[in-house]
Amino acid sequence: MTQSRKTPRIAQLILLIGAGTCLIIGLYSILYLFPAHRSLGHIQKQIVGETVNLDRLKILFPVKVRAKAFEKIKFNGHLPFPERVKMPRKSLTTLPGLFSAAARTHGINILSSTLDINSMDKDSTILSVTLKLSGELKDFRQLLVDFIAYTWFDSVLALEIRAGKGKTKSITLTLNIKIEKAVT
Amino acid sequence: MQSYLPLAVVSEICRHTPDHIKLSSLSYTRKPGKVKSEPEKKQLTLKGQLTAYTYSLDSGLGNYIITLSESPVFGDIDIQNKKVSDQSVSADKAVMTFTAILEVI
Repeated sequence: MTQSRKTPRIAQLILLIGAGTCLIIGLYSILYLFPAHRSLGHIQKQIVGETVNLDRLKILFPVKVRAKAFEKIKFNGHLPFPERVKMPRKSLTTLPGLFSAAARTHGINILSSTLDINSMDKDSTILSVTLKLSGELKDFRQLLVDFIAYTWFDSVLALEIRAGKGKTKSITLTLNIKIEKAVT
Repeated sequence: MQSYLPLAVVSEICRHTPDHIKLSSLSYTRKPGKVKSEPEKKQLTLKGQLTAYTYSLDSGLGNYIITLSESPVFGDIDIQNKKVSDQSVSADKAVMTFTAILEVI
């Protein structure tokens, strides 16, 4: 009698233990294994992303190094854009002196400076000046920037550069200068 | 901005001219339009000589012209007086003289 009562109790106990174990395994799967599996997938995606980034950096790094080197070079990127005004006719005599001083600053020789007097009638507002110069091209470029920066500069009418000895070039430059109309 | 156009022209020529091309002259001129409404024409004339292997003279000049035409400063380019010099630099190299007329935009 006692033996027959004990048997269902043991069976119940075994069932309880079994259910408990299943519950623990289930909880372990839900709470630990599943999130771990998800985070593993996430990490794999991150690895792929980082590998792509690394490949990009391999390409971009030399470019960055070059860009940094360029940053150190001092560069005056500002060209003057002055308000243009007309030169008074009485000041025209100062022109050759101004040109000559600017040319000297840049190591350029002025061989001749010719004002096109024939183009100057009472109503004309433009005067052509032809300069014959000799010097290096890099210096001439700086001189041209200086000429363009003059407030009364209008435009370059003609420019001719001929090869000379070594780096020295023969340059003929015709500038248009804004001038005031003659007072009548 | 237009004031600096001649400067840009000189800079572009300096930038795009390789060592084997020596320019003997550069001439920038402005010609007013025939009618008042017509815009003025700006033109650049280059005279120079190209030193290269005999078989690559034409392609060398072609490359130079293509490079110049890619510059935003220049429009149509016309080659005139293309001539291979009788005096060769070495056994396999020769000199070609040319004149190029470039439209300045």
